[in-house]
Amino acid sequence: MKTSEQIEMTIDTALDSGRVTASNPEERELQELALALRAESEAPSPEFATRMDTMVSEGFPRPEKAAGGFVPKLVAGFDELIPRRITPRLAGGLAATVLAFAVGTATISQSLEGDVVDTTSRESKLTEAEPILGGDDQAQEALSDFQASDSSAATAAPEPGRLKALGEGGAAPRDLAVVPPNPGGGESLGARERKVQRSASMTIGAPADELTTVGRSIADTARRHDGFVLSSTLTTGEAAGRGGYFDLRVPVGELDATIAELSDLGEVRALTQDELDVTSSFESVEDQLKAALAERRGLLRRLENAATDTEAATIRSQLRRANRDVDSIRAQQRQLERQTAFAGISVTLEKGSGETGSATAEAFDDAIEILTGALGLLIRALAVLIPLALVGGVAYAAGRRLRRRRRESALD
Amino acid sequence: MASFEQLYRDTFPRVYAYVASMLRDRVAAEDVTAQAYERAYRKRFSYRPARGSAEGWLFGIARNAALDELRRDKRRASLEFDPEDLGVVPAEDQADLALRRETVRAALATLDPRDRDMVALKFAGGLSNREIADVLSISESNVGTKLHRTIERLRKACHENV
Repeated sequence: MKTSEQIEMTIDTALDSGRVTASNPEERELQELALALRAESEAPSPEFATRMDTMVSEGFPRPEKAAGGFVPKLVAGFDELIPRRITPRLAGGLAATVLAFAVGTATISQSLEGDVVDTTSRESKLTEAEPILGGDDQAQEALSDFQASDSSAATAAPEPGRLKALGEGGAAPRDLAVVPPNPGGGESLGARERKVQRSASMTIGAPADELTTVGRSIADTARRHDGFVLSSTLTTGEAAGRGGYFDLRVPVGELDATIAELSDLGEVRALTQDELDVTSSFESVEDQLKAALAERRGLLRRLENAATDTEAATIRSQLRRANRDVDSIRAQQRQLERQTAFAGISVTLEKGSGETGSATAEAFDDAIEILTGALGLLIRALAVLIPLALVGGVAYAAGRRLRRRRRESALD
Repeated sequence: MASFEQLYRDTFPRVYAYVASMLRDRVAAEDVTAQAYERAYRKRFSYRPARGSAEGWLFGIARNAALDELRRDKRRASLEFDPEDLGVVPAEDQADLALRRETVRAALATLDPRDRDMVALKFAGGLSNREIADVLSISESNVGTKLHRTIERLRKACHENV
């Protein structure tokens, strides 16, 4: 019994040579059969062969619709280039393109979102507070006034339209236009002198190992501009919430210069400046003072003209109360003047990538951040695309099998 | 693929013979052969040598076109002998040659259509077992085994007919 390979070889020899070559009767019979089967093959007619030769040499020209003009020809040209069926390679290419597009779009979108992160809401948990309070005598005097008035000033809501917010967002606002300075805390508005309270808050980023140095520099800056540190905390070491908070007070005329100097200490991540018009409060206190002084003058006149001792005693008692009122109103007036004479600066110091003068490191950190974001998005996209691709692959294979079966049913 | 024209020159008579053996109709065979070459021409950029020989790829297209035609026309892939469809036997053919051809045709008619398809690919198409395996999407060893059995059946049928 011959193997299928031997039979194939015997047959192929006969087919290749076109004659019976074997000497073995069984092999001869096989070769004769193969040649007989070959002889059964029908040859194309010369007319058909000529027609086919022409079609092949002309590249199977399409009927009229494709030969009409430039556009149909162009469409036909593209049609030839585009495979009829979606091959796995084509499907893979399409999937990769879609994936790349999705990840690219998401990365750009994330990058843009990252540029407008509101850093003003950042919170730092302070664990080891390091006070850096200090200042000269003048500052200490002002400090007591501010401590007394801090709560009331802090709760005072800014008038609508008076709030000037600058540098909100992640972009370093060092070069941002600042609200025009207002030395002395007042501004002329027509005939009246406006009294304005000014304050600012800023967030500065500095390398973790320079937090202490930068913290001391913040306090020094306040003092250099005739200001002082109202309160401060600074957390260093390996704690997660490393950073600090500084509440500064500087003369209003020094506010812009102080902000500019503070901005040089690190990466300015946010800068906000507020103004609060307190002219009406000033005028109200002045009016109260005038009224109190007038009342006191009236009481003094009445005292001079008092007819009896009892009447004089009553007037003196009223005079003492009026004096207390005058003192109290004057204290309020002084307090308001100091509040407009000094501006508050709240500085939040954060550890971060904002190393000054290290653009390469910053770029590297940004790149890592973008890559990490892109990787996350890629994983998410794959989580969606892989099951889809699997289902699509199974459907494609099933479709091919079904189509083949249906086609081959013609042989049944 | 070296060139489509070269492939056409190498295969045209064999593709036609294979399609004709499937359809048993000269006109339909011409239409389907032309259609198969046109399809192959339009899809020539999708051919990947890694998937098999160009001849195997072309015969696959021709086979699909022939099967589509069979389905369309509700034709059966029977190899019933139709003297009108076959070439005229030259008058000088010897009597025993004519008898042998008659015997072979009768033996072919006893085969299962799928086996006849395989025999047509082998003897009319002149494909190797590897190429037949690519066209039918089965393994090469499977093709060898099936061909072996089919030829044995043909031989027996020929003996019986004689």
